[in-house]
Amino acid sequence: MATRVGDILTRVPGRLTLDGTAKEAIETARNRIAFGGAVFALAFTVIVVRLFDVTVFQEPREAQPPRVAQTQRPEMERADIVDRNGALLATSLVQASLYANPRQVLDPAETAAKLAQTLPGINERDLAQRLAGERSFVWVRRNLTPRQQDAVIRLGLPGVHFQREERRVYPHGELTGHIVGFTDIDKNGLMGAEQAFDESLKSRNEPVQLSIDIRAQHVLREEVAAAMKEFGAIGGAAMLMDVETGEMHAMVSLPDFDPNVRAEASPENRFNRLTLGTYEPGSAFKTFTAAMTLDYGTGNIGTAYDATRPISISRFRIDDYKPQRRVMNMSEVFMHSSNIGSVRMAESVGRDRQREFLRRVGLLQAPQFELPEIGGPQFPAQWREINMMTISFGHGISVSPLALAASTSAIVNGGIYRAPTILRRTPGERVAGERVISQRTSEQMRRLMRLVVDKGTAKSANVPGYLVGGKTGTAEKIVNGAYKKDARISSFVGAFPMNSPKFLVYMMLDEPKGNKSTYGYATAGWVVAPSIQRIVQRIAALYGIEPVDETAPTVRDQVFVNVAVR
Amino acid sequence: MIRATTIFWIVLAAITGTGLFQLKHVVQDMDEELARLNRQILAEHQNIHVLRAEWSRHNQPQRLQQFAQRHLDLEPMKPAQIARLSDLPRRAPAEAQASAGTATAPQRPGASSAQVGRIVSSRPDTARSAPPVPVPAPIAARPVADAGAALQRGGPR
Repeated sequence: MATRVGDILTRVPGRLTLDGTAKEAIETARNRIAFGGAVFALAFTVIVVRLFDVTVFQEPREAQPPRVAQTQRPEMERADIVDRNGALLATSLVQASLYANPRQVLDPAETAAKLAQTLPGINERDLAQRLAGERSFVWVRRNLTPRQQDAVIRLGLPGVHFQREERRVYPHGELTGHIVGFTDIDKNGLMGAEQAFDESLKSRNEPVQLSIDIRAQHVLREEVAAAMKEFGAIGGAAMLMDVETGEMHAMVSLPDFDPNVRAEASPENRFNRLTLGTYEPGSAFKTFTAAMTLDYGTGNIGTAYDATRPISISRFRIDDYKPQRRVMNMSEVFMHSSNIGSVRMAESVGRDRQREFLRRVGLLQAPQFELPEIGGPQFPAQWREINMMTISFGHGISVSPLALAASTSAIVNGGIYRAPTILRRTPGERVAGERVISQRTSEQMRRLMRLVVDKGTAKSANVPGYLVGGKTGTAEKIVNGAYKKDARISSFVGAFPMNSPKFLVYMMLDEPKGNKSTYGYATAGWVVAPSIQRIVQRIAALYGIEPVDETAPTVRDQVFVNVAVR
Repeated sequence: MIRATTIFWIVLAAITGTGLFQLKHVVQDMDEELARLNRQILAEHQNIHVLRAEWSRHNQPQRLQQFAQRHLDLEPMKPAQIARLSDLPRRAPAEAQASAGTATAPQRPGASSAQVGRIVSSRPDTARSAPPVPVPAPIAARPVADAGAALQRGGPR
């Protein structure tokens, strides 16, 4: 039905009214406008309220944290290794590595020629061949120096690029080579502390602090090197250990190597004599025979042992190096390092108890230690009578110097065995340990060890005021299953000051030869003891250890054996 | 009337707009400065790191010892050079000079144990060639004149 305008509009005087559908449409429109208006009004109200709230009621605060300068250290791929005083032993330096993309290289021959000219040691032909290849990534040279990098940039060659890389550097080089170890080019630890603490170095961005003191390390290294030179030894080693905490202050094994140029290091130089090498300790082992006898109570420092005749058992003959041919008390046996007397002591204790004792003081298993290069002891599976006898004076058993040091330190420190460690302990920390011998045995052993330096085989190790005590050991080396007469391992293991031991000191020389100054002798008392004297002197000065008055009655009471010795 | 209000609002809007624009620019500049500083800090950290490695290398004990031997007239300290402060006599300097060499030390056991001698350098060559330290009697029991002389011997000459 069609509607015309005339139908809708009704003329009313003064105004126009709408009717019907038109009126409805206008109503709808008006409602919509009102609705829209309401929505806007609401929105504005919200804004006003919020504005009021923000400006009047709320404390001024920043929407985002203030942007400040980043002052923390940059993240490195691998953390540093430092010594006990914070001296840097291993760190990562950022360097550029040069690689090429052969697809972008225009002239492989020219590029190779220019690079070979700039960087020494590059095989030009080989590089040209690789640059002509199909691959899109070719290493040219890793770890450039900044100067080399600059030179390569100046060449302006297309297709060669730099990659940021970290390189491990060892500022102290060979001084801590065996301890710190090294990594491969992809920075995985391959030796020493680098391997032992690989995970922690990679994941935590804080340095690993070792118990090593580079100053002590230097003193020991220098003395071992000097002794090696003087006596023509093929190797040598020394260590300094805190007897109360088990911390290693210095560990030196010569010959050594520089981890910065490890490619040149021979396996022999990489060999750590202290931890991986095992040697027959010889007479230095008599410490344990004496301690065992005292601890089981089968003898005391005055007990007499018959050393008038050599011992013959099956086809072996056990004799003394310098036979006294007399009855000696335990102190004299220890002082003169009598093999016969030591066998007598072991016999009084017995085979099973000897084995049990050595196991208890930690000599029949590899010591617990962080460095991965650890050598376990070698001893007879069948502990027979003859083994008991030879082991009583340190033959027929091989232990690492580290194990020997750890066990000896338990003998002198009051009888507590603590695992040796390469990590620094917090000062004052009480380190838990295991009691292996009684306090009294330890105290007696200190007297006996002091006697050896005071009047026995190690007189030249004496330093006035520092009460050095210890035991020498000279063992013939086993070469192809037989003892070799002229090849010896001469060693000394001891501690100072003996009235209250602080440091254990160990040193050994591999195949020393006697010279004029030692009247041809190459035994430990002649070739190692003098070095021990110099080491103790320098270490005491370094750590500011006070000398004691050896003649004071209190000190004499602490370190003298109260039996007659001659 | 309406015109005046409009002008007021337009001016206000213009001022606010310009101000906001300026502020934004200042913030942007500061952001750039911050980024630059952060880059610089990182670079400095890396430089410090390199220098620390170099410092450690220069501090190799062996190297320091060589320098000490070449340039300093010092010797490694010996135990005989360590004396307790309590071992030293309490005298006026003039009197001490007059009677030096004759007086003996008043012994005061149990007094504080401050050390007088300190490490001066390490010089193994001289230590090695020298005979074992001659100490007739341990320090505490010796006349102080001796201990003083030992101190002088060890000091810089």
